[in-house]
Amino acid sequence: MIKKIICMVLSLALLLPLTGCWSYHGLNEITIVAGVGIDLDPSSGDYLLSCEIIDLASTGKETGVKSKIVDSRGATIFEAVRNAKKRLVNKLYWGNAQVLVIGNQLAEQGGVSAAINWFISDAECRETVSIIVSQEKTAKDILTLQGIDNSVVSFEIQKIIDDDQNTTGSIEPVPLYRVYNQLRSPGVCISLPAFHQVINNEKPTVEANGEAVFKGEKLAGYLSAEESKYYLFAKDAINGGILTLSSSEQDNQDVSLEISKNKTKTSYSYKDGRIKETIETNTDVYLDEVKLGTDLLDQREISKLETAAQKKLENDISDVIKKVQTEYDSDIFGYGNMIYKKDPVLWQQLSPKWDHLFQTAQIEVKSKINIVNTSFLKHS
Amino acid sequence: MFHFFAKHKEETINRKVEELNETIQDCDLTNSLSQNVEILQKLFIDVDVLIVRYIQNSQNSSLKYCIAYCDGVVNSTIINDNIIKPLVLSNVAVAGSNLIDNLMSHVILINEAEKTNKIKDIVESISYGDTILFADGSNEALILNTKGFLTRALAEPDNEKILSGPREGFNESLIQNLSMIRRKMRTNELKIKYFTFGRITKTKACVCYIDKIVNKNLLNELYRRLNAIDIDAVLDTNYITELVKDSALSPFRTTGYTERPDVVVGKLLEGRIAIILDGTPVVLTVPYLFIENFQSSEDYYLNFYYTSFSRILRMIGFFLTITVPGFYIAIVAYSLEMLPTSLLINIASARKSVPLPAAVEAFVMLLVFDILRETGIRMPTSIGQALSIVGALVIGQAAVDAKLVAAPMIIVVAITGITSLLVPKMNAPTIYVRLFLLLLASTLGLFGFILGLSAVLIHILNLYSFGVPQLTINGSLQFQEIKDTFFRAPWTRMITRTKSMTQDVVRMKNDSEGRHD
Repeated sequence: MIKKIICMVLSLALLLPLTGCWSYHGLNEITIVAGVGIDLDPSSGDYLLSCEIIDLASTGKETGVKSKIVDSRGATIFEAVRNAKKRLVNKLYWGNAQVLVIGNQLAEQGGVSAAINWFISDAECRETVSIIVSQEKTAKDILTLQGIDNSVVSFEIQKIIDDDQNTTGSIEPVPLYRVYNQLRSPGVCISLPAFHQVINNEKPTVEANGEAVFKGEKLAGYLSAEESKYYLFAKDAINGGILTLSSSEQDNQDVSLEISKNKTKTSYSYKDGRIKETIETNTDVYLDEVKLGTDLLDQREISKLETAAQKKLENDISDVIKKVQTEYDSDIFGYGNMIYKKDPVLWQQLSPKWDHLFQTAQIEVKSKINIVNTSFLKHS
Repeated sequence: MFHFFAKHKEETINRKVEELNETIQDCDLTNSLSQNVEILQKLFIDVDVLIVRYIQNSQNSSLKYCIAYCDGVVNSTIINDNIIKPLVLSNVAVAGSNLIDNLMSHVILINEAEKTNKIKDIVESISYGDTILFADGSNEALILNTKGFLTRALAEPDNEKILSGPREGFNESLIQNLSMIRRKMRTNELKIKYFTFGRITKTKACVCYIDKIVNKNLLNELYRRLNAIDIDAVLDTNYITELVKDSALSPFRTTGYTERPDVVVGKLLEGRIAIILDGTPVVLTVPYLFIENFQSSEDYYLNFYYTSFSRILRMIGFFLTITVPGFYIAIVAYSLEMLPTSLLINIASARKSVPLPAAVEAFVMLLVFDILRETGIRMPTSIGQALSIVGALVIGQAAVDAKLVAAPMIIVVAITGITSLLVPKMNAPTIYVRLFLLLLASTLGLFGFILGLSAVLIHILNLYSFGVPQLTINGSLQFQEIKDTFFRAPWTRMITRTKSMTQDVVRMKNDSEGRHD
């Protein structure tokens, strides 16, 4: 019997090393990090880390969750993280960090990979942290802003990012692991959501402001929120948002179309040393807001609206692609990657001169818009 | 030293008296009335309730009798009217060699009379309310049934209250309990076998089963185990439970118990065997499946949709009551990353200035809850209010306000406590399994928690009740085998009985839609 028990205990003990992280850490021994901003000190080249931590002391039933900022500096990210402990009672806890803000300057100097490396390799931090770019001077400028909800700004940013694709369609959420992967994939460049400061009701607050386009490691430029929408269309990453048709001549013909479903097909052809990309979008929309004077029961009116919207969408998408081709020369659409996946042999030939090929690629956009709901109430 | 000798001496005397008693008990009655009475009085020395009364026939003064009984357990009216009166007034010529037989057939007006010449029988029956009639010149005596003691009125059992259905409950009298069962089943198939347990108490017990339905192997196994019992006293069926159950040291029940006749009859009809013990309203039923912990008699009396839901609730309740503290500690102390951010912040701010580590806090609070619960059972009802004030205000509110305990811990303990009341039949296992899981969770985290949960499951899978596995189903999974487990199927669908427990599985020959099974 004793022998049996000893055998049991020993074999159970063998299981212990298989458990991964199982060290005890009490909840009152951690400092919860909500978000972190990474800047570069131009003079010394050190990282400046600003962690937004949850301020448990002033968090209460009436006040809601409050946060404060902890600054630290270090030659590497990890050093900076550990240097923060010198000022803190409890260690920083990264398990629930949600946003990683990259400073404008750091992005322009091109150290994205180096900056995010620790976050992806550390055990505590999640691979699903959202990465954004601060359009202000530093990343800290974003984290020190007060959100409209008057709580932790990192969580507000995360919420804005999460909901954006289905409501406005102006940014594409990019988790940490995708940035890491894309930086190492051939024929694709990263683009990250950009946030800037706006004045709302006389107080500064954060706002999503389109996409930051990177060329390799370096920031190449920004797309506005409106341009980002068409970028999302081209990338087949849009799930919602509004298409607004406004005509300059007749103001009462302005129409809002709510995007319900979109499918974008991209295909390429390579002929005579030129790449031709064909982008076909097929979008179901709801006619949500229409100014007076349109007969919503008239099929011809609807068709007219559809045609107008198709034309506008085709133009806008091509404009954005052209802008990225010519101004930024950054393949954020992943056209090169598409070739790499479909035809690796061809990609081997093309990859050395891909920059040039992408810039000169011919773009053809075909859009199809179906108005599925007209929100028709009554003749008035 | 002196004390030892004194004690030793006392023991010797006691032993001698016992031996003497035994020898007297073993001997038979004599022809002499006075001698017989003397033996009886010697045996009942210092037992002042013994009443001995000499009687002489008014017609024939040579007919001398003596009746003996114990005061308090007899019905005096019966003794006066049906024994003394006929004995005194009778003019039947009874004298002769078969005096006792004549008395029994012509004089005594008692329904149940038995002839004996064994002192042992006399001692047993006189203690239990029978009256002994000695007649001069006969070496036999009559045991006359004059039992008349107070029994509790039939009332609904307090710990098995139901919403609808039969409300009567057993009381402490074996015969009355049996009558309640018999009343519900008018068949000769209901077999009732008497047993006697306890060297001193000689408690009567009986084993009931339905002949055609019961599994004979099970019955023989039960008889084997019952016959092996050798104990001085049995005061409740739990004595028998612990003496016959399969895994003697497991906290889980492997025998069922109830105070309701309808439940007993229901179980008999499923092929189970009931053991009824005199002196206790609690009736034992075997074999006992794990699922019976979650079944209640009203599951069958109310709509099956409703009762299936409450049965699932009970199972969830059991699961919660054993897992919640352990799971909470495993998450809060080891796997923080599993908490959603807002919950993490809430718990962290609640735990901010609490002095004890979460695991110690959990142990202390569970202990406090168990103390409160135990107090609630033991205290007089009039103090109930004071206890709930102390429990709710001092331990709940005040402890949180004073930052001795974090508020989430109070919620965890409250959930644990309330859900444990959902399965009252599992009170022992829940306490130990809960602490076991909590201990593992607070030392090894989620890993230990899962390890412990697996160990508990393996243990339950290993439990047998009289050879019937408690949790596993024999053979392939079929609807008829699970129709009364997670949910209670409508009666139209419960066509068969549980296979492992009965030799006759057919409950309905044709189901309600005329299909033949």
